[in-house]
Amino acid sequence: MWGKKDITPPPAPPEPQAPPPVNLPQEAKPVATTLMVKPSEPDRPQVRPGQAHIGKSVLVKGEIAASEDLYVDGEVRGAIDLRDYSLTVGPNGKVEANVTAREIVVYGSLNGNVAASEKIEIRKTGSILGDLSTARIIIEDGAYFKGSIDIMKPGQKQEAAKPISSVTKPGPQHTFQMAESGKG
Amino acid sequence: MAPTNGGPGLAADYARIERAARSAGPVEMDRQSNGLRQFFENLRGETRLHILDLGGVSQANVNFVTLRGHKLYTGDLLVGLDRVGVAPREPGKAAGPTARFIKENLNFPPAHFDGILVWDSLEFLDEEMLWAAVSSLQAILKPGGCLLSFFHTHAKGETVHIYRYQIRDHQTLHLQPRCSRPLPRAFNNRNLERLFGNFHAVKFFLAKDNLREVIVTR
Repeated sequence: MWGKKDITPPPAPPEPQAPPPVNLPQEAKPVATTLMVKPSEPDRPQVRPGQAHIGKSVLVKGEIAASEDLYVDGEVRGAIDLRDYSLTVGPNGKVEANVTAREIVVYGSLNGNVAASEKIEIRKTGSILGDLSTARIIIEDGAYFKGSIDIMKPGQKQEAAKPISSVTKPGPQHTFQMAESGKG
Repeated sequence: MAPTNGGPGLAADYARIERAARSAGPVEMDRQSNGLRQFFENLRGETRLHILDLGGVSQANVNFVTLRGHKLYTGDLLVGLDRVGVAPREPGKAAGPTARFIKENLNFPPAHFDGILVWDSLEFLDEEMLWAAVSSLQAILKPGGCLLSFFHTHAKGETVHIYRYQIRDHQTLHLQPRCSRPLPRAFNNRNLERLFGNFHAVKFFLAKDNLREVIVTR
């Protein structure tokens, strides 16, 4: 009897895996209406196949120019020029550089001026210190940003990220630490 | 379900605001703001203005300001205050907390901004920082530019709720609870006139939720 039961399980695993992703968002909905509660689910980006990847133990000093999408989960100091491609700064990513790209998504920290022809997204774990120039910006609650935002109109020529100006001098990076704070 | 007393939901709105002001827990809500209306009336007709929001970044404020063709700068005075307050002074460094606070949070070229949204962050600064901050704000505001600041009418030491002020439209704010803090001092109209004495004009709006809205013009 025991032997028979041991044989049957292999096809089963796909079924138990299915419910959690369905149930979790449903249970999370009422929690999301309470302001002071932070969602427990970490917001993690996916590294896409074929995307250039700088791992979290890698430190790059200098200029990166690429013609493919780039994911930075390590540290980059210098400049990043991706023009028509996207940059994702992962949760462990720390970029101290002026960045020019089509689209920029930040989960970690970015210190520098940023020019994105399409979109800049600062996720709730992300922080940017610098001047932004883009057509569209998405800022999640809890994200930190200090600097200026210039929205480019369609057809307006996108300029490369300016060197850090005297107008916005980003101070040392920090996290929001207020007592009883619900939303960073 | 329709309101039975007063205008369409007006009484209920005020009751909710007053309840929120008195209750132990902060409540997310919308409120009308005469100060905000005045602030944007002062800027009406102009484009490509430079607006500084010192209440932290929010998508609503970014959208509202940039969709009107203005350039938005953001900072967060409360975060800046906490950093200066929490960080120990480094040995051998002469810069005190006030100088550091101004350098890290209000270090902009003179006469750079057409409008500054300070919200309620000024009232949590200590005396020295407060005067230094107001002086810096005056310096970075263009002549004719205006500043919007809020001050609670509560007594000194009373704990007040601090909100993130998100602009819904030119006269409506969405208040999102942020934290609570005791007021280091109480402000009345005379204190405020003295505080903004070097500006060209000061205008007050006293709201029913114990918040004094102040529009200051350089």
